[in-house]
Amino acid sequence: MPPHAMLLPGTLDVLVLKAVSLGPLHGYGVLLRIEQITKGALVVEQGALYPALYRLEQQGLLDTEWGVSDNNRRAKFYRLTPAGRRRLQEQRANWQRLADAMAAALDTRPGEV
Amino acid sequence: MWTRLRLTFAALVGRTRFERELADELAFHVQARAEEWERRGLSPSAARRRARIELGSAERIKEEVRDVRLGRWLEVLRQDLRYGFRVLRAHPGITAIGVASLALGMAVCIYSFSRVHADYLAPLPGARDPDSLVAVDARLSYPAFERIRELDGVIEGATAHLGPVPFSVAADGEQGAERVFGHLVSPEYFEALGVAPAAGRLLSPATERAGSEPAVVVSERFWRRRLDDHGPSRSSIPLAYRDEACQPTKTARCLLRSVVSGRNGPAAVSFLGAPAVSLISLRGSHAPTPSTRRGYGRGRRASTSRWTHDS
Repeated sequence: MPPHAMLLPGTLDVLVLKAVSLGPLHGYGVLLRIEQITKGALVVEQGALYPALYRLEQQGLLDTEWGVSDNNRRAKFYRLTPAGRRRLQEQRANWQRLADAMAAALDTRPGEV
Repeated sequence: MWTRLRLTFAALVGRTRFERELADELAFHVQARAEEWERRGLSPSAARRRARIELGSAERIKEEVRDVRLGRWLEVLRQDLRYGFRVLRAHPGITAIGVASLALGMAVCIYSFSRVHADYLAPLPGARDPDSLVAVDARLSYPAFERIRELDGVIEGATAHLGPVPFSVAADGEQGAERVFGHLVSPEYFEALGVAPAAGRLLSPATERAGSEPAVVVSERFWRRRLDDHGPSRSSIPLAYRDEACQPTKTARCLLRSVVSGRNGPAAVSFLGAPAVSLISLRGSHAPTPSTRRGYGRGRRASTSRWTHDS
């Protein structure tokens, strides 16, 4: 297992949106899905997950619905709204730019300046 | 925006349901996580404990979620209100003084605004067609008023009034006189406003003739308070009016002479744009002294005398 990295501020929301964009999930499922898609490199603090979910719902990016989980228990499922999908696209582009810029900056060698 | 409002509203109103669903959601999380740890070989109780520790304080999470949902300020407001009520209940004396001052302040405001409304803004009560009344704020001599009254085709009618002025009234067999306020009016005053008497008769044109006795119309309230016990058919009231021109107090006729001679003209002349026919009764809370729309307010206990034409 690779070493865990700290979540940068603001990353949790976009990770939640991405996780939910792959299919409706309950809160615990979101946690598992994030671990899965980051290949365990990013660990979400579980206590921070629910405030984030409620915040995204409040912003109209997520929709909720009570349903039945895999093991036949009642669970609250989150799904992406169209607004959430748009937000995810924007965030994705932002993160791409930031990551490219950071990588370019950090890879700069003395002779290239 | 609407989502936010709807969810905030739901969290406020359906507070129990909101709390229950949040608790269910967290319980589900702990349970699912515990099953995961059991699969990895922990005993049920150890798995459960571990899942709880991983999640952290459920109360703290709930608090944060409430903040998200209600908005921080709303939650603070709620706490402040509860604190305020507790403090108020702990100090009943100060609370009573505060409530009393507020009540007094509101009462004064309500009273003055309703007076302004009644005296200046609302249509003249009791008048048959208040919108057709026009008040002329000018002091005219009585002959000038008579010329206006006789204008044909321009106005339906005109009436003059002066007041409120203080009268002193002494009923038979009583010691001392009482000061009441009334208006001095021309004979067609009530007719022009479209007011009918509850009892007796109003002013007839004859009372304007030289040498006739001044006639008085009193409000129903004044009648009940001062005159009713003397019998319904009372026909004369001792009446005096104090005026610079008639020192000291003399009868009303003294004043009337001074008015007519132009030294003390009527304060206003009211034009009326409608025929004076009315069934409105003086029986009513607002009937005492009809005045023009921008009039001088209703005398509380009005007795109305009138001008007589004196040579």
